[in-house]
Amino acid sequence: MKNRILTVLLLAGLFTAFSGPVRGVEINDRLIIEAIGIDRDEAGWAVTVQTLDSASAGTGENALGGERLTETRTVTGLTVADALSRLAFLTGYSPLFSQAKLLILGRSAANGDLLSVLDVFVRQYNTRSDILVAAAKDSAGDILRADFGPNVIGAKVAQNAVLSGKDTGRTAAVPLYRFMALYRSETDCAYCPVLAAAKDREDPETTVMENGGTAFFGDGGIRFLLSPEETAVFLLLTGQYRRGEWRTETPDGSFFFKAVKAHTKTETVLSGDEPSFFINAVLTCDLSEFAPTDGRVLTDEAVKKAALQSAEELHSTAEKILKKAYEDEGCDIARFARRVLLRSPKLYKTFTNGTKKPPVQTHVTVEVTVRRTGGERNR
Amino acid sequence: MIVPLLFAPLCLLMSVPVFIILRREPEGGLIGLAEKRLPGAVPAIAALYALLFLWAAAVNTARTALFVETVLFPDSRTGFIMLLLLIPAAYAASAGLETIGRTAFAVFVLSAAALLGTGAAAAGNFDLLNLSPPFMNGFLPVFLSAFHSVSRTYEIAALPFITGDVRRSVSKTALLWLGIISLTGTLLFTLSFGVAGAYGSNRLFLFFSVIRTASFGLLERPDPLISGLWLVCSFVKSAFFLFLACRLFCRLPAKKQYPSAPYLAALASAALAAAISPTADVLEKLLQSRFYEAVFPVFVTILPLLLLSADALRKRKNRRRTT
Repeated sequence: MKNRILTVLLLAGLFTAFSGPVRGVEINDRLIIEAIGIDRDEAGWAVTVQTLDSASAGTGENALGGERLTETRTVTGLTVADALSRLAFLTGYSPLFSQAKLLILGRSAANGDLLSVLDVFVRQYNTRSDILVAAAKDSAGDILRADFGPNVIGAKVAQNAVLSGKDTGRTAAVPLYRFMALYRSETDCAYCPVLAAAKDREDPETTVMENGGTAFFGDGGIRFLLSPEETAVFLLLTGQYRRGEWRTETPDGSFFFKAVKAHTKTETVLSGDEPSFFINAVLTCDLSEFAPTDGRVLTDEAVKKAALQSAEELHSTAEKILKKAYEDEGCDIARFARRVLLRSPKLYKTFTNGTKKPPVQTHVTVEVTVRRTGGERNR
Repeated sequence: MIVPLLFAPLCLLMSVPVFIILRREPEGGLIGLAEKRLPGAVPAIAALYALLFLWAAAVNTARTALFVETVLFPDSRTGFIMLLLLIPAAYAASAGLETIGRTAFAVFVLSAAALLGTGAAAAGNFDLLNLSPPFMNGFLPVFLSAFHSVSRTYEIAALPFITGDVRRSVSKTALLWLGIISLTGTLLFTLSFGVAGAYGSNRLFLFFSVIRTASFGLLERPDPLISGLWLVCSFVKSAFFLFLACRLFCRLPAKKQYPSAPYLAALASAALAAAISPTADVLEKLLQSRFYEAVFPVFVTILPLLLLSADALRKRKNRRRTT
């Protein structure tokens, strides 16, 4: 019996001894970081963190003395890690990075060597590898310091904006591990959503989050940007599009479609002189709104025409994006080289040798099917 | 990811002498064969294998300590972690093989369920384009990598020392175990590289990094669960090796049990673990070295083969005498 008790105690010790802090830090002594923003300044690096007010947790009052749930601080250092290490000294709390869900790279930081900027987050296990990465249109600190209203956590607003892509298809959310995988790869092109905090046009007192599209990275930083509309097509081309909305103007009127299902298939053909890629995207959508021109009624014919026109518009944007990315900027956003690697490692070497990308042929087809037209019957 | 698939046949090929011994001496195992054919060499053989299992426990402890220091508690002290692992392991070793076996089975079931759950959750992030063709750089690097994986499998060397304690056929169970290890390894490697891509190329704890990307339902962070289970697995492994080391050491001067032997073995193992891992770099270099790879064939292929040769020679001699 004594042995059994000892066994249970030892096993319980093993299970629990490693699952909590050895030198217990109370939650109130923790600086719970929600989001991290990195900017470059004259002195080195300025790291802005938005933290929860854990000091007043459970006390019924806000110990930070303000109306906000969060506090935003900026620390500077010669490197990112150096700046982060000053947090404990400045605040007297022990920083907890593992709760941070968003990492925003300021314009100045994004246009540098990202491997050194992000090294601390990749090397250390105290941040999560699935923390979302975003780029700021200007300063990352400005986004985290923006006032989105009382009792609103700015980091949460920014995080929601990044994740909104799964419903709108207009932001390309990417976790750190995937961003780094693409950035470290010989042939791929890393990307992340672009955010900006701006004054609301109608109510200048209020700050709103703006979607700046998607930034694509090369060795020297940001290579080029895609607008939110182009981002949707990029997601469609790469098979990441799930849901989204778009508008099509036809002579019959304005159609507002909502995609409910998307499927993209890319076929690689290596038989000719140049590798060919046949990208077929099939979108199934519902009609959310129809604004007729000159009081016209909605007919089946008009819906079909609108669907066809949508497909043509998406096709044209897709071709434009591929040309801009691959031919003009040398960014393999559709991962053609990786597709070749799976089929022919020998041919793949042409993608890694030399600075210029080898020519490829792309054939994009987009099909749009309207599933429902809502509660109104067509004529 | 093809490496684990090669693991099983390569491991099997290298451990053929071990399986022959298991067949010839299902009760006595390697020591039984040595007692019959080379009785004078038994203490030396027992000492060599005891040292091997101490070494295996030390390597296991050092790697676990590295994991704890890197991932869980960067501020923790190596010695403290090692002792925290090895003292319960020594206790388990003193309780005997049955206790270790029963604990191992419970841990196996829990680990399998946890791996299956978290693996399935992480599979949502899988991208085929992150993978590379298996023989992209030729067969040799894949073979060397598989050989390296095999050289960490000291459990094979343990089989001839537990054969008398196991009710069912050790050979069949070992074959099944090899198959499971190989298949699980292939799945985990494929999943890991399919999720992490180039991000995983330099990760010290690749699968753990992949697990950190998984979340299912309310359980947003399954990594502490996996860390806990991995630590318990490590405890079972250390306990098993300490048990074997003690069993063999106790054969040296006299066939006698010493109750304090597992604790002394744990201390020796902790000292050895501390010696081989003053820094993570030294430990990694040792684990990647040719010396580390050479240990495995000596104990799994060469020594059992020498014993089998001695056995064959003696049999031939006996046959000549009788004819």
